[in-house]
Amino acid sequence: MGKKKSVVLLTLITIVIVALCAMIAVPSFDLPFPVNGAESTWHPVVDTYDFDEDLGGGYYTYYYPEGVISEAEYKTECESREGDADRLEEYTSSYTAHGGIYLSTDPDDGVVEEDGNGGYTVTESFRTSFEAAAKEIADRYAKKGYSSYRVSVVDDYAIRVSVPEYDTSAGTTFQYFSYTGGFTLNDGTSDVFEEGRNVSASDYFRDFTPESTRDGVYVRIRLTDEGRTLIRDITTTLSSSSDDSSSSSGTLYFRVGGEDIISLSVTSVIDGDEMYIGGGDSSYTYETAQTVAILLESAVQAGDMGISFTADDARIAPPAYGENTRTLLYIALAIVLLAALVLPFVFFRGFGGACLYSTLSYFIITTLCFAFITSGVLEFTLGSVLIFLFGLLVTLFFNGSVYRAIKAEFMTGKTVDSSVKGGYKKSLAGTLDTYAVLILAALALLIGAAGLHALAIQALICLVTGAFCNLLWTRFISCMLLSASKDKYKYFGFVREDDDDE
Amino acid sequence: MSKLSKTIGKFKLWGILAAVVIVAGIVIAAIFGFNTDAALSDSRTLSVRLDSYVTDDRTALIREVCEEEIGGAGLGDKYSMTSEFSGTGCEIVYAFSSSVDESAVAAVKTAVENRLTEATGTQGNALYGAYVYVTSNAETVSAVLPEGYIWRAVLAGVIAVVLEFIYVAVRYKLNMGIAAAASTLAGTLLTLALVALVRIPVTASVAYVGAFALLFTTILSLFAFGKMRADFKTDEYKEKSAEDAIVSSLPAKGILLFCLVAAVVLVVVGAIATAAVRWFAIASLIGVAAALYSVLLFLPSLYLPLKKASDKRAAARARYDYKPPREKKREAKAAAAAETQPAADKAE
Repeated sequence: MGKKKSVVLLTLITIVIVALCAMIAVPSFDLPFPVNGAESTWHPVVDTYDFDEDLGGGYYTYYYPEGVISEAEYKTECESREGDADRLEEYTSSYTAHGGIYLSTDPDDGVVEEDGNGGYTVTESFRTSFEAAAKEIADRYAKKGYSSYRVSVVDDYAIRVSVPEYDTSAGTTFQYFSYTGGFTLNDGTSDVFEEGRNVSASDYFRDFTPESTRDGVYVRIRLTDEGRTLIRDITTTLSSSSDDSSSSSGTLYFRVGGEDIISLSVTSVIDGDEMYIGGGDSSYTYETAQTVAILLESAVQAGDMGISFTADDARIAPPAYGENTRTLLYIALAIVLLAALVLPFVFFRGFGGACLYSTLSYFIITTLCFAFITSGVLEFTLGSVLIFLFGLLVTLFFNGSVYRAIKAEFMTGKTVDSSVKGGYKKSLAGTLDTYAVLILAALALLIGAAGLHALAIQALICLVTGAFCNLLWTRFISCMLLSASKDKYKYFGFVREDDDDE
Repeated sequence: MSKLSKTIGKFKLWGILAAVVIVAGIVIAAIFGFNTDAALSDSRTLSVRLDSYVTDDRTALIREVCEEEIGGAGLGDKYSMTSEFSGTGCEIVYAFSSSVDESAVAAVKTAVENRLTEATGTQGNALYGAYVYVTSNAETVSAVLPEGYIWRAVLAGVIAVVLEFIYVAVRYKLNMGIAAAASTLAGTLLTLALVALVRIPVTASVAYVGAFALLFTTILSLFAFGKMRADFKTDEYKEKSAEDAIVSSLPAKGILLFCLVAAVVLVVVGAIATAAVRWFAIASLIGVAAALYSVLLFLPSLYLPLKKASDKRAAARARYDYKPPREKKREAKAAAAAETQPAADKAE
């Protein structure tokens, strides 16, 4: 490649790299000009990741069973009755404290019973129902596949759940997963079947799974033969009862604990082993479909748990170890990246320039891929940071080993060009083998669930990018830098030994 | 080189040491589990809910009161956070270890409650007129791991090791495949065992450390065998004994440098970041150390007997009258049959 061409190409590449680096890493600030007529804020790419709880915090809420309230609610109610001593007395006697929560003493609630000593004990039936429901709720959250979440029992009879911030439908998840009643199908006027000794919802439904296609997201419902017949019969009735002239339709409701989870407009007979039910608008995301599918599956399998919960207000929580967790991490990563850019110049001289482009390219490709390939699907965890650093280290190491191979070739008396060719040729097999094995291992890690699966995909991104940088990109850049440099020996930091004959 | 020649013949020592640590780690993990991070373990909490307009002054004042009372009672909180409600209000939570005495937290709660009640009733105070509720709770964690997390992680690890074995065995040599797979397995298990043994606080992210250790040990094994494969082809190495060949070919400096750089990076990240990242960096550092042990001590000592056996077979094959063992057996059988036949004929 000619010197001029090299310089022009290098300049262009440099401009692109600088622009992309700025897009990725320049911190947030308010834009001095309006965007679409409104004030707007600049957000770098690294701020758009779906962070897990460790790095981004999340949301949490409390579930209180019927007959159990929080201390804050108890006090609020007491304050509202402060002017009326009788009402206050009546209210305070209707609850008994249990740790930081209050249990209803109303026998109709069935939470506590008098123990004969003027105190109260929790009824066995409430305790059993609560434990079963708490386990079922925990299982629902486990099925969501969060890389980090927590379900805990608070003061024996309330539940606290926390999920990472990337769950855009956390509110729906909190609300839906608090439903612990039985599953019913309702045609708008009555329940289609009653759960009883001879009929169970699981007789009609095999399973519920979320599906995502180009057209949208759906809940796929697989039916048993009995279920197929049931749905066909109901939809036949609903579609025939719909008013054709006004194109209105009957609605089939999928309910859990009396709450509508899916409202299916029926315009024609549905007769198949599977049903796909979508949300109908853009707010119905994959996470929503997944929540609906998990809830319906749980309600069909577990049935009515004999206890109902109320979800408290959702809270937005920062990372447990401080809001600056991410900032400090970015500072640390910036230091590492800076060292990765500077140190090759110390050890490899001009070839350090090629390493710099290679490192920056690795940084740009991986960070963009993390944001745009895995965004909304996978989350950015501490594992992502680790795997990014691992890939960076591997890339640098192989650049170093190429330099060593070139130097070794040069020491045998070859010319620079010939040494470069020989060096790359000699190190090619080792580089390929290592990347091949690492990529195979990363592919195997795809079997992992939740965060480990995300890590495997991110590892693949890092390793493929690293392989590209090591095998093609660094060589290409080095070739251009070599063409542009005045002294090829100086570029590599080699010292030409004078020929004795000269 | 001289140091490596002292360690290479001690497979039993390195093997037993690794096995002891791994078994101890498994036992500890089976009995006590991993030491779960404070944010994911049972706790007692003190929460202050501000059900009014939130300002920095108000939250700062609540925090000040809480921290004074908590400090005065001699309670050390595991972590604290200020969360926001989607509407108005916020909740400030202090989490303590579950071993903290319930009455101590209750006393702090009462003290905080009294002071905040006084503050809300004092004109001119930032909290004047605000609704503030103080509660203390005991939390028992019931679920933190996604469904199938552990068994799928184990399966993924096993398949990764098997794939490494197949690739190295096919591309390099069978004995190298065995040694590389064993080394990777040892490095990964050692990491997890040590994390369990030294009681580093972990979250579900311990699986990431395991995956990192697996990849890290894999790459180091590949460095080692990549160099050995190239070296063993040269005439110089063909004449060396198995021990000398392995010791002089093992790129110990390169491996050490790689590990050192990785360690420095993890130290930088751990030193600057917050507690959650710091413990994760320390666990990863253990992964680097375990990988170093596996590749510099365990791998060469395991590979030595395998190479010796393979060299012996190669030497036997190289002899001019070499016959494969199966053929030798067949010939021996035929000879034995030939000997017994005349005897039988004679007896007849």
